Amino acid sequence: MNIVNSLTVRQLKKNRKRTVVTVLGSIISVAMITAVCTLGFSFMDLMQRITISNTGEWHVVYRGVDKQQAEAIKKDEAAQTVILSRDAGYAYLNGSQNPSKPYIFIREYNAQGFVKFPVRLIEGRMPERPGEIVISQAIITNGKVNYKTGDIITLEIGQRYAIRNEGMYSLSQEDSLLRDKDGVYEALSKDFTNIYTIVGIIERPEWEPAWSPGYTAISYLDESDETVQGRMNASVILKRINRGLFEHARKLASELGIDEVAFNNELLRYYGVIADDTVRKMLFTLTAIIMSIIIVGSVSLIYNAFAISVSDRSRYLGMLSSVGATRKQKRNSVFFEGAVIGAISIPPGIIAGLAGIGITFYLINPMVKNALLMSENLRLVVLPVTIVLAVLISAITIFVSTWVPAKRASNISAVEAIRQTMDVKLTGREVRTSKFTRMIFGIEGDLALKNIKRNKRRYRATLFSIIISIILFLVVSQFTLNLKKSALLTQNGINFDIMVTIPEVNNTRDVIIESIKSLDNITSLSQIQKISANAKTDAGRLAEYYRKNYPVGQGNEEITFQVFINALDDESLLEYANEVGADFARLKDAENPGAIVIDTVKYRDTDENKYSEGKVVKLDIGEKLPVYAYDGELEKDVPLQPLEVIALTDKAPVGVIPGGLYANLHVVVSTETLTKITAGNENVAGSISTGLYIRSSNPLILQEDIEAIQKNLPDNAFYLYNVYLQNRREEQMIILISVFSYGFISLITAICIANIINTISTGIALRKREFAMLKSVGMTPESFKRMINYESLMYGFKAILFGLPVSFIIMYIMHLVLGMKFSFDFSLPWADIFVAVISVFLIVGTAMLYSGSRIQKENIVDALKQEFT
Amino acid sequence: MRKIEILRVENLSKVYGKGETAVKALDCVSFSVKKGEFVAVVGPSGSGKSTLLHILGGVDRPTDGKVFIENTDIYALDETKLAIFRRRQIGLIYQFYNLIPVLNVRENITLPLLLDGRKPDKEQFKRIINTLGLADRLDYLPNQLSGGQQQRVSIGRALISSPALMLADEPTGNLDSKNSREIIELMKVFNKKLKQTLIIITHDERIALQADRVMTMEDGKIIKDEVIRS
Repeated sequence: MNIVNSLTVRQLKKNRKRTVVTVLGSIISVAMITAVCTLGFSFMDLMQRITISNTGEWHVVYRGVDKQQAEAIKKDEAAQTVILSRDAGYAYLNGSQNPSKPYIFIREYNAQGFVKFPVRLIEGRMPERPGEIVISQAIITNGKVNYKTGDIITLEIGQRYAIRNEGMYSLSQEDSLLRDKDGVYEALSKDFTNIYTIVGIIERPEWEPAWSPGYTAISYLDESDETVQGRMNASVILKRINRGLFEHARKLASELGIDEVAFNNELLRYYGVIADDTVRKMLFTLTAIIMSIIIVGSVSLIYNAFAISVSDRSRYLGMLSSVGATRKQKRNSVFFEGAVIGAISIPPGIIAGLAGIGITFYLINPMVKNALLMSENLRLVVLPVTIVLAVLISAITIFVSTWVPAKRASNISAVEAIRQTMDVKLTGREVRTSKFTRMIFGIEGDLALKNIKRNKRRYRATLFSIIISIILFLVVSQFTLNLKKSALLTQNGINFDIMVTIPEVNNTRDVIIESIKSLDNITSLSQIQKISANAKTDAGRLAEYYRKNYPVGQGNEEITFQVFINALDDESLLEYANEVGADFARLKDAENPGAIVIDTVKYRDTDENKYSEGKVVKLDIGEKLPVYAYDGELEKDVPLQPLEVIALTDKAPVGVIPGGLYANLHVVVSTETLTKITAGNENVAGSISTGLYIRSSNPLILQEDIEAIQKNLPDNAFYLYNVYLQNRREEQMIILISVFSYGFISLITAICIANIINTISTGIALRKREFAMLKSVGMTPESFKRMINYESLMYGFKAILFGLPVSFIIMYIMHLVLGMKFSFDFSLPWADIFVAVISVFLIVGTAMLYSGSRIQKENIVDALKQEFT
Repeated sequence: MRKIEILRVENLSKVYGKGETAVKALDCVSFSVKKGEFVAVVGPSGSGKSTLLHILGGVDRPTDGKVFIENTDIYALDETKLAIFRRRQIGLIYQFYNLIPVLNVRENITLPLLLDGRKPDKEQFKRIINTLGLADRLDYLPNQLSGGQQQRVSIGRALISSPALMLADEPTGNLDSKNSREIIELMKVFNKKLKQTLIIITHDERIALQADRVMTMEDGKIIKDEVIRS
């Protein structure tokens, strides 16, 4: 090692504390860089696995191939595995109890298909030869056709065709059964007959659309079968995924005379090979932003450390200059120092980053799976490119940080260094303070302020670190607060755990209601029948804001507006009526239909951009409100009996959610009243939906029980919405985001704290002699402490003076950009602001006091003798 | 007129280090100085003269012995009281000036008073700066002054609170001969005119011979204490 580098190493060893702090800060930043890289790749890996589990693992599909073409594809050097499949067609499912699903849809796979495509076996085994078939469990549970393993079935297989005036066209599983009021208007061709043995039962595949008319059955593809020639699909899993795969596949298709080639873009996007892909762009942008923040914080720390180091070593560098060291040698000494710091901090930084992310995944995986409803766990993916990227970015960060100090070092002349005039080239103006400073804060405050002014660069670097920390902390706190507020808002007014909606009046409705009512874990159940109607009133009586939704009516013309009629069960209605002071018996009198009107709501006025509370429409008690309902058959509004306004209120019963983003008028009636007013029209009566609003002691178990009821009914019989689960998912999602955000912030703050400690402690150490001078002239220990305290206060106040307003501005911009202005008012996270302010003073104060106390203990004479070593 | 005793040193010892590596910088030194005396302390390197001065100045504690300044045992005071005593009663001048870089000339000179929360007497201040020739440099920072000018500031600071003792450790060590002469002359002026008690450490015989009394030190002891002029 040459003498310059040797001196550098010795200096690093001598200033052990500062070196350690710098190395620690670098390790944190390398760890963060590694973590971000790893997170990106791990996230892509997760999405790849989820997509594969949902839609199967394949990258390219060649459609309509024959045996020779399939062989050629198999021989393609880019192909790892080739899955052959065919959609054989449809056959009638005799005995199907589901009128929307009269078919079996038969797909065929070769052996690899059963392995690579997501087919989950419940019973039996997968087909191994032609003539064997597995059927979807839904055929049994939903279609109510009692097939079992071992049965032999004969299927006449063909294609579906629509029959319309425009002519015939073929249909796929994406097309639901074509039928209207006149019946089904599609037909099935009879192409061939096959006899199958059922060898197993599978779960309904994820790729079978809910509305498809055919239950899935999968058989074995006989590649040599003549009937399949030209109709097979060859799905290819590639050996390597790169941007060239598209051209290669198209070229191969062209060479083999294959007309159709498609790509699994949904999967490929997570390999980053799709140009202009929004996912890739978003991930890249997010990574770039986060990486930039990390790099800025790191550069600030490392630059500061090196600037101090150069300042420290300026005497040596000057002496070296006087004995003939060149500029390049002096400059390279700084780069060498950077290399040493890098060499020490990069390996442990990478390990720390990987370990940190690994541990984070382990801890959050249960939450992630639940909150984001994912079938796969996040796993730590360490690729060589991750390590290379982390090393490269870290090295560049260190290099950039050392660039300016290195240049400065190269310019140090012998004379300047010996005279030590570099650091104290001051003018009176630079350190001028106002008379009031001394008047109010004494000589200690004056000295503190002058000390801060003397070294603007170092002061600004420290200030910048503190400000960045404040901004990041507050912005992320606000972001998390907003998320919580949004979640609360969506939960606003919802005071039930599970909602069941039965869309139409049909013969299963009462069965459903009774079945559910009989379940355990129900604390309370409210049954509401609902219908959407229209009412008429003078335009002037509608709220100004509400009227804007309707094109006509500024004066007193009659205007039609939407009304929701909610009929409560007796128990709920009695409770509600008592609460709002309405006459229960009057409500039950269906001969004179009456309603409680919820006319006062909280709504978001999007024009004035604020939350308002007000009357939706001005109505008087005793007034009769004309209502109309839509008859689907007649395709027009038909009048129902007018409703007399019995009571006006701002309270809503469980299950009725007035207000929110759009104000609506809700009225509450008895079931008898609703039945009465809709009795005259079968179509209107048939469109009444029923909602069950359930509070549960165990919403998850209750949901399972309700789903068990749902399995035995046709699809669309009712819809289940577990609010409790949804809320829990939202909470977990927020926790997840908070974990990552606050974790990120903590680490950035750690870098900033390292920076602050470095700067402040070195600044104080460099003033050892000065402090000794002051003590020798008669500065008492208390006075000294006061001076240090004032300095920390000044750092703190300045940082807060800049940091807080900038944070507020960024928070407000975020509020606008994220569209939250339409949900709630902008407000500041005062608790977090308080924490930030206190923390700033704590950190700066502690750093200063600790460093100061060490100086305090030093012998005056020894300190005075020191010559800036 | 009988001169009063302003400084009394009794059995002062200072040992650095422990055991085998212990160095006795001062070995049972005792002497006294009267108000208005100009004492020069001379001796070879390592004789203990700087150590003696620092202990007299209250910036280094003795291992043993007592120092009385105006009958106050300064090492019986706690740190705070000692600091206050230092700024009111002792003026220290160093070889390397030791000015505060961020304070201008006016502030450096009045620093002991500022620390005491006092304002300088305008007349006294004017007298000092005129004598020191610093009247047109009051707003300058130390880095804008020459070595000689900085040392004058240092003298001004040592005198501003009219201390009992003015102690100077090689005050001309860093100056050229012309400046050295001027500095010594200034100190003599303050000694004669203001009856300022002055103790200077010097290795320069010419400077020593300008004093009223010369104490010669060797190996931590005063080997000779000679009154040159009364």
